Amino acid sequence: MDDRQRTERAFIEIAAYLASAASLSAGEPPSYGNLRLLEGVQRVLDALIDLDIADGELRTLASGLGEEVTGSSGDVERSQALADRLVAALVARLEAGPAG
Amino acid sequence: MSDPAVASASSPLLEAIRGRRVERWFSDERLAEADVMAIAEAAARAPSGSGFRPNIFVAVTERDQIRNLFAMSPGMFSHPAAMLAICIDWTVLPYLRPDDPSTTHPTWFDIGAAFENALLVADEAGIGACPVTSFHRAGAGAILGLPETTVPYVLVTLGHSAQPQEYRMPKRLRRGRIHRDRYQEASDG
Repeated sequence: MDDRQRTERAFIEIAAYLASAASLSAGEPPSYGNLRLLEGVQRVLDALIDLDIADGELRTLASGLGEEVTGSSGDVERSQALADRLVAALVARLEAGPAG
Repeated sequence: MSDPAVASASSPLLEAIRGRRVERWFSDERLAEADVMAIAEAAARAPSGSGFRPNIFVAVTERDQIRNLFAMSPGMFSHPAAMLAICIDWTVLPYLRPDDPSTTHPTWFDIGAAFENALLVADEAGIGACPVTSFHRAGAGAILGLPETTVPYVLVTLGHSAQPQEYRMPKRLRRGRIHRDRYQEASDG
């Protein structure tokens, strides 16, 4: 694993952590808590794009995420589903290993 | 009078229970395979309601697996050397509905008994342990390769402590929790 792959893995782990925390905190006070965590996932993915590390799959995952996060504000079921979908995508990415 | 027997009774097991602490900060030191499997066996030998034994256990020592599970787990503070996933195979209990606590409550007792066994055997081996429930179940299940009908509910983190012994918090048995024959309200005096 080279430096770029190690960086990608570390970022994906942080994104997975934030998405997991968002899922676990959906419906818990404060009401904006899981929204902020989902915004964190978006920022991590954006950082991977800014660093020119993200491949097409990660760019697709990040695409439109901001609008989805904003759209799920105040809707527990929707934000939970978004968080769970992000976790599933990030788990698949962790299991597959970094792109070459 | 409350707590009449607390101070006088003693046995190796009771002393172990008195001395056990949860450990959340782990060193990088690896654990012996035999110790991890002994902890898993202790958990699997815990009592089970009606003898159904619905628990499935996955002992995890691969570094990448631990990193991936850590990423799903806001309840973990540091990377452990190993983990024991305690799961329920819901196909063993087809008449129970996982989303209905009134039918599933015995399974939670099974999980509690299993992780207490694990914590005690870990403590005896000088290994720190902590039961963690704050993790993404579906994500952890995917990482562990579990079928959808088997759900992880507790991840027991295992490892040698990264903290000096003197940092361990004293465990106090609050008075008024044990009663003899009948419950008695605590008096102000």
